[in-house]
Amino acid sequence: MRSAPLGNPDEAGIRVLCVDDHAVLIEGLKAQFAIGGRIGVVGRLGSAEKLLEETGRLNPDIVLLDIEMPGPDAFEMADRLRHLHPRSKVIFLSAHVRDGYISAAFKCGAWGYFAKSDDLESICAGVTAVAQSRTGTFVLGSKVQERCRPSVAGTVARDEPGPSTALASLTERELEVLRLIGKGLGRNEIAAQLSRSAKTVDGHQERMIRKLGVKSRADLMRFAIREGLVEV
Amino acid sequence: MAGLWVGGTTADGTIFAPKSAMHYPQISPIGGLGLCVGSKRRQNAAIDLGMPSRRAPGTGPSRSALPHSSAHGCPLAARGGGVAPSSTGCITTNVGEVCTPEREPEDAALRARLAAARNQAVLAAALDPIVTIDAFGTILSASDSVQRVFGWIPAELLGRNVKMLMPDPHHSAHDGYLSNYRRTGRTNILGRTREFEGVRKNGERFPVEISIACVGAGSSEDLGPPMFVGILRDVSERRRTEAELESYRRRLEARVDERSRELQESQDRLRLADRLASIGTLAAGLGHDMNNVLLPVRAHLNALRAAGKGAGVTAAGRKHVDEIGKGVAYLQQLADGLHFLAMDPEMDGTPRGGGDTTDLRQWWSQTGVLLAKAVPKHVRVTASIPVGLPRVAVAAHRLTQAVLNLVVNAGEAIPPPSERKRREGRVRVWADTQPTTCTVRLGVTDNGRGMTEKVKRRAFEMFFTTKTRGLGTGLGLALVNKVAVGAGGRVDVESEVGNGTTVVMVFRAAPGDPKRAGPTASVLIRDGRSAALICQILGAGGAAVRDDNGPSDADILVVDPAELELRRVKAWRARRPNAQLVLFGAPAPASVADWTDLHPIVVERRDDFDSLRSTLGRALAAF
Repeated sequence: MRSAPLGNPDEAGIRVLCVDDHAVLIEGLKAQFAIGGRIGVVGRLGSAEKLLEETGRLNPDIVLLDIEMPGPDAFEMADRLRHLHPRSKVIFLSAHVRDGYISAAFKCGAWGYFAKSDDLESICAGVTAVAQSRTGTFVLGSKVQERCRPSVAGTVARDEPGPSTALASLTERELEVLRLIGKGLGRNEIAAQLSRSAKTVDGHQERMIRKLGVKSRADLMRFAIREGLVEV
Repeated sequence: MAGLWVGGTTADGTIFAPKSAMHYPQISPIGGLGLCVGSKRRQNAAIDLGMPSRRAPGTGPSRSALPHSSAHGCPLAARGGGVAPSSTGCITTNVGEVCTPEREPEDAALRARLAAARNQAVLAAALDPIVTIDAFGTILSASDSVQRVFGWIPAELLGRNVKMLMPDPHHSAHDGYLSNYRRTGRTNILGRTREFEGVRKNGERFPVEISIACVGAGSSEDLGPPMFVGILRDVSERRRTEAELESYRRRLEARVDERSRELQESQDRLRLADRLASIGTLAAGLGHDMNNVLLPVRAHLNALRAAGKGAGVTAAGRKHVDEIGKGVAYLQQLADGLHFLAMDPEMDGTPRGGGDTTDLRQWWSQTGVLLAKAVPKHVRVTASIPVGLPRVAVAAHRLTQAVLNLVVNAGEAIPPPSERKRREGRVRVWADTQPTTCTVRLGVTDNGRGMTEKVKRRAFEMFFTTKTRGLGTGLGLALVNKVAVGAGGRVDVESEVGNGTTVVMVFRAAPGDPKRAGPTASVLIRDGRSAALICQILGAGGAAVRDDNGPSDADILVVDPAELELRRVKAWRARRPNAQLVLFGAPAPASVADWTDLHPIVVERRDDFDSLRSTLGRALAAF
């Protein structure tokens, strides 16, 4: 789906591409951004399927990306985007705030994460801060920040080697596969989405089963849900 | 030869003889008259009645060598029982062995001797007591086995009334039974097996199965006054076995019932869990969709407000916008509450005990609206959460689920207005702190029915409920307990019947409470994304993050060992020996030893949020 043009992009100071399957939400964002006049929505997409192409075409400063949408995995697409279009910075805007999502957002190179229930002014400020950042930043909405409190109980002993959690033992690619497994996708669907062969997906799956100490693909799915990698 | 000879046949028909039989080698299967007695359990015994015989060589001729034994015997009697002369002259014993006399006894005396010997053998060999009485109950004979079963020597019984072998009521009534028989010639006991109680010599009672036959009854011959022969079988062992079997059966049935009940309960729990999961999913979905709608509504309201400043929006119009804004804010609170409620404590990925902390006032401002809706209309919910409480070491969504259960329970414990006198239904959510123990108490108090001691004791049991089936799941307080204990706290209950209940969750105060000045932190990392996240985590943990350009006197210093010169960090360490040094990534192998001397905490995986959170948590925990 080609993104719908929303006015003259050149008039906007900060060019935003909104990706959300709720059109009414994008209309609201457009109205909010219009108040300050410094942010403009240059395009919108109902899924991340055409994100790479549209980003290339529209060249936005910011991509406001929802997480739970039909179509390709948002984190996977954000990861690809940062390599293909490093100038366009991804900020996640989701109704869900979960540790797994924050972790994935940071890992895939996003520049921020807001909850849809966050204050709209703070979202605008975050978009502006990211757009203006030269050295990089990671902006969080107040609802997301609540989930960033440091954990004490989950700490690792000083001399203990290796990752602190089972999830941390997975590579980024494995995490992507795990997320897609958690969404209920089959091996061929995952392969198609990641542009990899089904055998490669199988390999990732086998390694994850070994690393996480689980027994089956169903266990992987349960793990993904439990760790908040997917919404149920 | 005259005399009694005792030997036997084995199962295959081989005749054997005991040692004493060596003196009587004249086994006479052909030439003599033999009587075999005994039981199946024993090897059969044979009685030589002294008839002329042809001596058999040795002591063990086989059955095949005995042409007049079973081969020529009466087939019908071959495996029968008892002792009975047949028309062919066969005599079958109680185990069916056949002895064939070569010829009939020649005179009555011999017959009498034969009968007497037979009776004597039967009485001697019978396993069960056999007692013969006359029509007045006088014991005429008793088998040897009487001693084993009743404890009486047979001779002690002879001439005495048989009722001595039975306790009341038959003991008293037995003479009457016989008298009735003598008068009418009728009795119910003949020809059937009955069970009565017997009494041993030592007075012990025991179950006896008795079978009685009348000698001479129905015979055309005049055999004199009637006699009764009774075979009494001690069935104590059988009764014991039956009782044991019955006990096993009952235990088995109880076990099956118990298992069935457990299975049913498991199914109920599964159904319940499924239902709760569905409700959770529904709540999550609702919260999600509400947010998707509320964001644009808020945005448009903001736009309207912004436009109103310059355009011609009337004061009344602005008022309407403000009222809509309040309504939306309320809905947003509900949506946030649903979000907290829908998160499954088992599946949120937070470690047990959790690293999460909650500001109770802030939490109540987000969820109070939803929780206050969880009680009936006649109940008022109030909250009293003072300013300046330390944060509690429990995740907000867990707290919401726990308090929701408590508030619901409290609301349901308050009778409807029609059942109350004067008192208003009240549920109060309150909190206070115990500085000496570094704990924060969060309580829910109602003025409802209260609990009995018994209910209070079982209150935390899973699936225990006092509510009507279908209304109460019995999981509420168990979940509250799980949340509190899971966060390292506990739950206390105070209740008085008629005066209400207070359930108090006691949590640990989170380190870095607002009353105490948090540590200062300096983050010296060039990667802006990582630095920003680290600053937010430290800030969320109560640290004051400073915007320093180099190692200052911060309590926590976060540096990238690949970026910052070691000597500068060494200088900092010299100034701040007790401060926390966090290395963002492992140092180069060549400098590991130098960095290790500075006692750092290392973030092993730089792009891992959980790793960052836990490592920084360790640094913060030192203050």
